[in-house]
Amino acid sequence: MGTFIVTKNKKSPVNASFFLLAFSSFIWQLGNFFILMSTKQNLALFWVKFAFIGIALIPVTTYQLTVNFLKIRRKNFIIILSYLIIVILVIPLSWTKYFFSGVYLYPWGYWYKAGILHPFFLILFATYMFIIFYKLFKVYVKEQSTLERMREKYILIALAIAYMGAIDYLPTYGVKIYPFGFLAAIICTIIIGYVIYKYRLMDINVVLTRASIFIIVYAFILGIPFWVGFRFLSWGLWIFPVSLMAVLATAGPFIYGYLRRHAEEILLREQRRYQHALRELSKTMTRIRDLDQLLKTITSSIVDTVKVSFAAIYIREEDYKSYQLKHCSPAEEKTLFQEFISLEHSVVTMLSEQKRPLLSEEIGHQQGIRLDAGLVVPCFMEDHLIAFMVVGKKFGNHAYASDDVLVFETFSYSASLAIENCIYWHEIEDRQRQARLQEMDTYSYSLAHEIDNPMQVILGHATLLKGALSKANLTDAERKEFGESLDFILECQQRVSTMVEAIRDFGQKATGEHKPLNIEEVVESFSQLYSPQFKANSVVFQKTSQLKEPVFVLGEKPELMQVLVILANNALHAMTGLKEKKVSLNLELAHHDWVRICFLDNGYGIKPENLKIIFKPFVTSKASTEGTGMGLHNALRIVERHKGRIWAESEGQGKGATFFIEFPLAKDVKPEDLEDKEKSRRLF
Amino acid sequence: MNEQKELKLLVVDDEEGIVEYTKRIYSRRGFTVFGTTDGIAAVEIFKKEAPYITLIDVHMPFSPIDGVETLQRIREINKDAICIMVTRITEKDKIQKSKEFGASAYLLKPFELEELDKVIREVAKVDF
Repeated sequence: MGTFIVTKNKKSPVNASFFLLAFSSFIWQLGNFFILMSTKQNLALFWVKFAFIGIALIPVTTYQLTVNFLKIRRKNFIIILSYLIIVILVIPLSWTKYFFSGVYLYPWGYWYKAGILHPFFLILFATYMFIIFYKLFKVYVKEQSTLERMREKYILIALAIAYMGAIDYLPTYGVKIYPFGFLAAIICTIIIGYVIYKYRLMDINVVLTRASIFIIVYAFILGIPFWVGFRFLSWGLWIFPVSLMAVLATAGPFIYGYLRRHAEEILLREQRRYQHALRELSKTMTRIRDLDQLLKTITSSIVDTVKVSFAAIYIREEDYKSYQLKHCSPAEEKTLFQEFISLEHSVVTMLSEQKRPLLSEEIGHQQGIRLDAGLVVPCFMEDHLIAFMVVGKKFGNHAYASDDVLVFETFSYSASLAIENCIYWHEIEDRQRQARLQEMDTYSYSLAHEIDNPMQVILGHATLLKGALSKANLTDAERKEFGESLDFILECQQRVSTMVEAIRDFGQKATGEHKPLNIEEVVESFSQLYSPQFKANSVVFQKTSQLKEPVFVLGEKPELMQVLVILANNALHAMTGLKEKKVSLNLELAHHDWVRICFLDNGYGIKPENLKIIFKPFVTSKASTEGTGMGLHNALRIVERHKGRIWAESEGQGKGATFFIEFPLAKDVKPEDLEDKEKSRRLF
Repeated sequence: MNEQKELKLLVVDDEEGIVEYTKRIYSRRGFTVFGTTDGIAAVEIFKKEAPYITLIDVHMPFSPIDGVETLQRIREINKDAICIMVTRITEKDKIQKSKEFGASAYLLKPFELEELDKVIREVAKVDF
């Protein structure tokens, strides 16, 4: 076993010292074996001395292993000194008659017989073992990492079992007791080997329970027939013990399985409970179609049922070339996570390579991901890491046992499926919404068209009546009153017509052809278009201009209007719930040949760290039902197409936001290039 | 100046309200106004009455033929007929076609009546 461990990782000092310990135990056990097998006293004494080489080395090799395991430095001196004492002093002494005065003969064979010096060695041995145990225990008590704590617990238990091997010293001093020590030594070595080899350990309570049940059950199964055999074989009834053995051997596994299940049900009640809860969640979550809701359900269920300190989930976002933090439970913990984790992050690489949940100890300290004693669970879809969950430490500082990890791994399969499902539904809904929007688009465009006719009728008839008023037989007061009524009608007609015109401008298809546009006209069309929205949301909209003369930019009117509409939509959202809502727009010249639009609202503002990312796609502060997160990204694209620039400034949360848009001025604008808006008639 | 009794105006628009107010306003100004909401009927009236000025709405979804075709047929009857097209800003191609078929001017809906007055004065060289 020592050789096996050491070949696993030749460079590890822990593995090397484990090899030494296992080797000295091997010499001891080999010696013991031959002592017990010896038929002559002289031969037995030789094997006693041989076995003692192993025994003498055990304290120092154990000490060395402990030091390496606990990573205590600068103890090499003590280790070398100890080796020297053992090799130069103790071992040669053991060959004298003062150490072993001979051998005892017990019913089971020969055994060591302690000489005068032997008790001194015993004291030395006990001191070493005490120091080792004390050191381990001290570290164990202070240990922060739950996983390390669990490993130390294993070693402590292994050592405690090994100390039971001291029972072998009793027959050395003449007490007639069978030397069971070899059992303790074997169990201890196996446990330590397991701890070193396996990173993820089973819950030790489970291991011990399983082992005890196994030993007890099989002691009975094998013991009873033997006992029966001893009693009855002499009477020649050999068939009885043999058939009893056959029956018990068949029943054995069932009895063992039954007891084990029941014992573990009690031991792992908590774990079984959350496993069950996660299984139930796996069943229901594939029915959730909204990604946001799904992730919320996953994170909060993990926190509630597994009782962990936090659960966060990152989803791969192709547009950012990174994984984005989508949900965290409890929500307050969100600030402790980095929002984006790049595709090249070492955790991502590790997850993609290993394709299994990783413990924080396996990952080590990582930039941007908070792990504290938790677990990172990957979600794969055909080899693609589509998401990963970061799960915090378990309640009460319990370490994640291999069973826990397995539960999470299984859970991650259904989680991947559910996430994929949501993304799929989202795409379908998106397409349907797109189609609906397109229909609405055509509809509103033709609506804007058809409104022209009734407007013309209102305009014509109201004008007709106004002309008729002067000739009608009315008092002056009546004439004035009716004249005013007709003016109201005409004014409203005028308002509707300009709004419709703005919608028409806005609804025009983009041709990609950039023409000189009077920026003030663009802003005017926008305010005509948007004024009903501002009014409906009781927003005070103010438009100012510092421009001394008409200023032209090259572009497409509907697109430039769209930029302002996007900003206005966001402003409306940012001012939700405010008593006084104000939006103002100012036009001014910037750097001589640029024109700048400042768009200001008094809404909840933008956090400094978000100022840079708001123009990226799918970034939204709105609930998923409200926005696509594409608004500002589209605005940026339009502005860039117009060779302009756009940025945002905000003094922080609650302090409103200002968006700045700048466009280069169009040079040498000829009157004939301009869209003639004023002229509604033209002669051919 | 040309204060003749014979000054005839034809208005073709599929919106009846428009036909009606045009009739009322221009008959008060001394015109004999004919109106219809149907392009084919308009061509018939033109044949019979030979109006001096014809106002044609370009977009007439409820009429069997649209404004441009009405214009075309009228111009086939009388290649000197004065036709003023009433249209929308978005129908640029139809404006262009009307020009090719010999329309004299166009007006964008919705327009003030003064605008129509000006156009009539300019293209028909009449005063009222």
